[in-house]
Amino acid sequence: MCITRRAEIACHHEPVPELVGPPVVGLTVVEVDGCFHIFNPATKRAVALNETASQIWRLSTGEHDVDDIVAALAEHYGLGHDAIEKQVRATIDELCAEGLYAEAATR
Amino acid sequence: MTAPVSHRLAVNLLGSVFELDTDDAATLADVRRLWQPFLEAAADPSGAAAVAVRLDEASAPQRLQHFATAVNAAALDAAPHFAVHAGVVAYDGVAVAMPAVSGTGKSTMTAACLRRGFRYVSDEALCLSYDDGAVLPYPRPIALSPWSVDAVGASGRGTPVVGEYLLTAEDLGSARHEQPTRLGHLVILDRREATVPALHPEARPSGVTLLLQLSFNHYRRPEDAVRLAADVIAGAVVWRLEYSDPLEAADLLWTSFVGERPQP
Repeated sequence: MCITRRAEIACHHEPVPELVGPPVVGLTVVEVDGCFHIFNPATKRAVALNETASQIWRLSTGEHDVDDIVAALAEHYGLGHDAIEKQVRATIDELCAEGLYAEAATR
Repeated sequence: MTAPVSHRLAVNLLGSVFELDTDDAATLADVRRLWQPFLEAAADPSGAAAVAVRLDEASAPQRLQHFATAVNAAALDAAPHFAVHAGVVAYDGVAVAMPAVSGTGKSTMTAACLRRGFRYVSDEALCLSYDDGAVLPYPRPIALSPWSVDAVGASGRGTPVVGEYLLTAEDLGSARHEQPTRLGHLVILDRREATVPALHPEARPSGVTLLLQLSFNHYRRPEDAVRLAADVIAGAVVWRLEYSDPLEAADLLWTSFVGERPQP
């Protein structure tokens, strides 16, 4: 997936966590009833996020990896990790494709 | 000695001034009646540069149609407000917006609402001030198909143009709402076959999306448009209106938003 940036690589060979975000600078972000609308001046597109995507966006600070976000949503919805991981990754990919993450813009 | 007849007639739509140029006095009279809220007094020009609109079409309906189409599109594109494709009516200082694309019944529903007691704001655009989110009137002539004229009980009224009629609020037994107001309700039109009208609450974020999707001119100030759409919807209620008959639906909107009608 394209939206994550790798954490600073420590001197070992354990899997490196994929951090999600942070948002690219300059976005216009508004929230109504827990759902975000985001305008990206670089693409001149406005993106409407549903409730689940908005929760993912809220956690896309560059401090959480995909597993953190999946775990948070799994707990919120009372679902298993595997049940929502695919959807979370797909949503993050869409947010990436919209150019909303800082690292995505440099890849 | 008689004064020379002047064929100058200027209208100011949302800050854009258009000067009509035609040799036909009847067309001038029609424009004067239908665009009365927008007439610019010759002795009191706005100072804005006027766009000349020459009407050379063969028939009066064609000339009026040309004028209506030309000035509406240009005015909305250049409007200094956030303009969204929508029918808008008002009651007690509260605006009700029905955003929809052309051909989906918003003008018919607007006309039906006027027949049922609402005041007229626009059948074409929800204009929101970037300064304070106020709904600004844009009471252009209401364009109805012959079917719509019949459906709202207004047969025989209005001025014919090509394939439709142009009517004022007064033609429909109502009046214009002339003051800026606030958006109280956003109604998503859901027209169906043979359905008893019903009003369902909708999630407000869908209203923000709709305003942005149906905007004429958000691209001019996109960041402000997104903020304004969210601010305005945060202070409104979003509904979905299932209906078949526009007058029955307008009755439902009235009783839901305003209250029961007094019994005769």
